[in-house]
Amino acid sequence: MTYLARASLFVAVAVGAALAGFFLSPYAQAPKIDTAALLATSLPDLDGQRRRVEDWRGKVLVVNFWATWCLPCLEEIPEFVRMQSRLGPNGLQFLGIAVDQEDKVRDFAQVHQVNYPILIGHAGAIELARLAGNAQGGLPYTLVLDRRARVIKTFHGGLTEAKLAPVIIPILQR
Amino acid sequence: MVVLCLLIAAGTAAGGAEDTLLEPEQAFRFSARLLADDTVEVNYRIADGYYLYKDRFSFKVEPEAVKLDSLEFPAAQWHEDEFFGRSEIYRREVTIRLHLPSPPSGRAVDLLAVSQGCADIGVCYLPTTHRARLKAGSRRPAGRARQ
Repeated sequence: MTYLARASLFVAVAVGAALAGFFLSPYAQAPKIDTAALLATSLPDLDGQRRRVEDWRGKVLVVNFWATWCLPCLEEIPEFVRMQSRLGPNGLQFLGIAVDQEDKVRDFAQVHQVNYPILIGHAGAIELARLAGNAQGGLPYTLVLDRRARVIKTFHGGLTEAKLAPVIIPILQR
Repeated sequence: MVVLCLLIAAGTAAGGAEDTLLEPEQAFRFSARLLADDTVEVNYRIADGYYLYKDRFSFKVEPEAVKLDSLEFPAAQWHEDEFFGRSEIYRREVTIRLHLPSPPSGRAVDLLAVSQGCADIGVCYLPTTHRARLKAGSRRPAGRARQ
């Protein structure tokens, strides 16, 4: 077999293996995200005003489903507060959707000086999280939407700035 | 070359932590049975990498005329963090005994068991309510979940 034939075979097998890996992977059965349902959702904020997720179209939006009984949710919020302060002027907007009771959320938000809006969804908000692609219903669950309200990335579990910034910064610069 | 191709395939197939996250029913397998007419045994088998909080269990019996008056928990592990302080958690398995001071005397009773747990990868599940129908004379484990 000539060198060219061996190289072609190598490339063909490698590409085939990569394709097989993709189609056998969970990405091939990625959960559907009902972006329209998410955007149309209307929930009260901590002032009692009903807000729709769509209200923040035009921002790079980070939608974070969380609860006060969920430790990894609480651990990531101080990082979100810092990022909101620093990158808010560049068009970044965090939005919390609390799968929790209003009094507990209000207390946490005051103590930890949460500087972005939080909508109160109570336990029922977990169904919205499922519609938004969170099949197992675990928290925290976070979606990143671009300025045209398209979902760019989802995260299950606790986030850090180091994980979130590489996704957000390029979108902010578009 | 075969090894390289396998690595490429594995790398393509490898997803994030979310890809291996279990459904709560798989992470925390519930069953309950009557040990005696006045004693219920509740068991959770907990998948590796998952845990249940001791202070988030709650139990109720229907009809409400049948009371629960004491719970026996096994020793738990301590877990410490900056938000909740020291918490007790269970890994692998936990068996809890509930005492019924006024046994249902042949009637079926429904046990409602609430639990809440998390995965070590940094995901927590909503409190889950399991319901089990228990009847004196039937010692088979029973249970199903509802959120």
